[in-house]
Amino acid sequence: MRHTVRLLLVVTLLALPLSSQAADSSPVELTVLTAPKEVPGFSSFYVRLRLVNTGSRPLRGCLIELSRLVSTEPCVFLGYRFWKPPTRFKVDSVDPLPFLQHSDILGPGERLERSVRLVSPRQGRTGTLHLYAVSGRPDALTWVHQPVPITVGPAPFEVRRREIVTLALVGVYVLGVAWALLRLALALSRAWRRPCSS
Amino acid sequence: MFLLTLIPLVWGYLLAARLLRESQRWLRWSLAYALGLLSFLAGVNALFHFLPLRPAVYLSLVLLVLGSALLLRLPGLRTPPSPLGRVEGPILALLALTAFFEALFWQMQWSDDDYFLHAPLMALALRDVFPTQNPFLPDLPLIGHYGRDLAIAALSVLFGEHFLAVQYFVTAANQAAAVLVVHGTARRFLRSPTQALWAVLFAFAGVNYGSRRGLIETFQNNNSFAFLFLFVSLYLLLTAFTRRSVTVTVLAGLAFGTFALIYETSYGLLAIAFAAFPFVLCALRRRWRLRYFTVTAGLLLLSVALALVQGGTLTELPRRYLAGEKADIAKSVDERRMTHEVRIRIPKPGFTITSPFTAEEYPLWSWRLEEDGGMFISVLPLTALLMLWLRKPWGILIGGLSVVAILIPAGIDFPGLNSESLRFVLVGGVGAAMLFGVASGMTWDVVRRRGPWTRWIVAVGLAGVAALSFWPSAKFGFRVIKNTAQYPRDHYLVGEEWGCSPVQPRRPCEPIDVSAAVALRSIVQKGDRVLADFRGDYVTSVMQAEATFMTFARAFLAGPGVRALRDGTHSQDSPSWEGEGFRARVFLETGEASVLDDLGVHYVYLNPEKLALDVYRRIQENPRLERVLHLETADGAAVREAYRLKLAQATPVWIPPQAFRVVSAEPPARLEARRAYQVPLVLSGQVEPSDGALRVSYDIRFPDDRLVTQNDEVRLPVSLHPAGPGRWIGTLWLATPWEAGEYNVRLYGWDGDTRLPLQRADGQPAVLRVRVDE
Repeated sequence: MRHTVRLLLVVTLLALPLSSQAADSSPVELTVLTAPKEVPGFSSFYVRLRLVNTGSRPLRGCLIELSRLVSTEPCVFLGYRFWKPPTRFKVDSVDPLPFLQHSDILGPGERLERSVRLVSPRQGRTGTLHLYAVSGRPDALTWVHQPVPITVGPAPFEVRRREIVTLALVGVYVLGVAWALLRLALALSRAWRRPCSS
Repeated sequence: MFLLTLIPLVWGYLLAARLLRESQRWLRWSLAYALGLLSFLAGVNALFHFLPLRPAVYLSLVLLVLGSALLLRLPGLRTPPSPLGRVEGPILALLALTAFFEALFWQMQWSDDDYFLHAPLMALALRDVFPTQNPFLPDLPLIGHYGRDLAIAALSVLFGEHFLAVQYFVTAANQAAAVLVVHGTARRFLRSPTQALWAVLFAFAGVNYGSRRGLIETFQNNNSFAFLFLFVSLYLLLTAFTRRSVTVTVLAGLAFGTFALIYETSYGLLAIAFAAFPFVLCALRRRWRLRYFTVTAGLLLLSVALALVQGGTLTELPRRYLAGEKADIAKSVDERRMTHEVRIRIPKPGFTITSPFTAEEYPLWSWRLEEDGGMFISVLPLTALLMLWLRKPWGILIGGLSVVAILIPAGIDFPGLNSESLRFVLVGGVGAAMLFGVASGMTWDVVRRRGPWTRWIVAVGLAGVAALSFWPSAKFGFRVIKNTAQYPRDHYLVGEEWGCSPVQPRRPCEPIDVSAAVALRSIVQKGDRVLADFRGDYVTSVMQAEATFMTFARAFLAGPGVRALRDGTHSQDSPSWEGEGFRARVFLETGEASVLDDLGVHYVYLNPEKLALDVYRRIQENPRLERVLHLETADGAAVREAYRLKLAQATPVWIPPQAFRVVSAEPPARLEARRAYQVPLVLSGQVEPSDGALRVSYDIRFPDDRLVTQNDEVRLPVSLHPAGPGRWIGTLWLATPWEAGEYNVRLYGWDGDTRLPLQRADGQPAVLRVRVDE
């Protein structure tokens, strides 16, 4: 039994690097050209990126549906995640970015520079924005990581106003429901106490 | 300004209190809201035929003030209001509150299901575009109901034209009002608060059909208007039956006629059910009362008279029927799906219902009917017979309506539009659920007088059925409210903040596009068309992006293409159009401005980063394209530009095509769908082209010769260069179809305005056979 467990552990450890291929075998190169150092909370901002196809095969944008890769041929997509890098390298570990469409083809040696839009988290904090270029065959993706230091400040006035208005509406609903439930409880308790009439 | 909305409300209240003499307080207020809204819509619609929208709105309000002054002369209600029961009241309040806030919160996050169509229509109404035109394909009219969009657009005039926020609140209010109208009507005519309560609970929270869980979740698009005014029409007919008043009958007829503008399918169902109602009633009572027939006939005649002149489907249908076949607008069944031109064939072969999402036919006894309309449809024959046996007019009317709603999509063929069967089946399912609710209420009414054991057993049984039925709806409602409380930042009331804000990799639209659209709003004029570059991989996402842009710019779009369906099936999921048609794609790949003339474009909206460098340069240097907008983010990371297309100063000289023969036209070895490729075109001919160009066009056909799309023939100038003695070479840009397959591309040359097939050396028409891959 112990032997089997050990064997399973070894197999698992060997399989882990396979699922998150090392960056040096990646057919793409990702460079952050410009990125803001500080952005307001829950707001749009742009990062300018360069993607180079260093491999020998053309790559096109991946088709992702419901956090699953549906492309059948080698493709590339960009993803991001704030603060903590993903512990498991899966398609749904990052939020994909609209950098390369499926109809776009990045030939061998070609480069593409584009600005992509991201939305900052709601809570202010200083940390790292993790950018990834994910490429290859759907069954063997390789991940290239680019960390970007960033500070997220407080949310702008429109966001706070929106939150206050929405929460106020939720409050009205909750109060209304509480009032109705109270009335219902009172009515039912009265009906319960009332002697049965024939 | 928004205080002016009190005018329709006061008018509606006076109608409910003084004319209809409604004694139930909650029903009176919900009728006040519904009749106020309906009267406002009727007035605006009538005046909008002759006036711009804003004067039509204000004049309608003036008319409602005058009408209210007249109604004030009628005596007030003296009978005391009949209050709701101690248990009934809180349950109804819970249901109405949840119906209101669930609809409000959902819309604050997602706006609408078919936002892509309704939002541009409301925006164009504010541009005084009337009658409605398809915002994506402005050459095609949009025949069909538009009452909901017009009502919201008109009401938004009183709220700073923030029509999205107005939509959210009006839809939410419709839901709450519908709860109260259904309950109040059932309570009045069933004479049992218990039965009424069960009926409204099953209608709103107990029936699970298609992808929806009860009427409480069926508020998107036209649904909240369609169901509210269906219930109001039922109330008015029954009130007209019981009140011997010509004025009430006239009011009911006019209100019912206006309903035709909101949802003609439900109007048609009700008209059939109404027409049959007096016969059934008299047959059951074995006593013929002329009043029943005169009231029904008066109501129906008045409503039909109004429906025939006010606009919408029921105005267009007879007009085209009288004008004969020449009045057909759509050239193909595919275009008919876009214009919503209705054709009718009776009987429908096979007597089957077309599934909305797969277009498969299924018989009336199939479980699919239960999936589409809810499980209570299976007991509808029993519950409807029970209503007949017990002679409950309200139940008979609802039963008749449900039966008609299920039989119509099986018995009448609507070629090209059969997959809209859900519009009928939904009404049937809701009616069946209400009847089941009434039957449950009747059971409880009977057993409550029996011994405690019987009472307990039935109570547990009913509670079990209710829990099973209401659970999916309650779960969804709870999820919506919880999501709102958890993520309040994702819930918007300001449309400009909402548009394109969430990052969706599929949707090629960003907040800067909304800012650009808002800036363009003051530049574009009524009727102007904008070719906007929102190219993307996913049709629905592209359409959403285009719709958002059009909504905020209040302009028509130019360039989408109508898709022909290969296999002839027409489910609701079959894509009807594509964001970029062939001509739009060729322009965005080449910058050739003459394509824009054919498209009737006034403005071009671009993201320079998406264009090839040489194409962007060509657009910038084209004297016919004048830049009217340049917008960029503070850091310059995103840029958007808009160009006005100026009229051509000189008429180009075209070489007559008759003197040329096509030697070869070789597209690249691999063609992919939704792209544009250069095709070298080699011609033979003894005519010297000098400095002119040959005008070449092409259409793309399926192997069976059907066109891949209507009205999107690409016409381009091809400059010819010598390629040997008597040979000339030029470049033709070929836009590929939207999906993989084999196609034939027919080439034409243009001599002035005459199209002539380009011929091969052997005199046969030049046709390229191409294979397109995904």
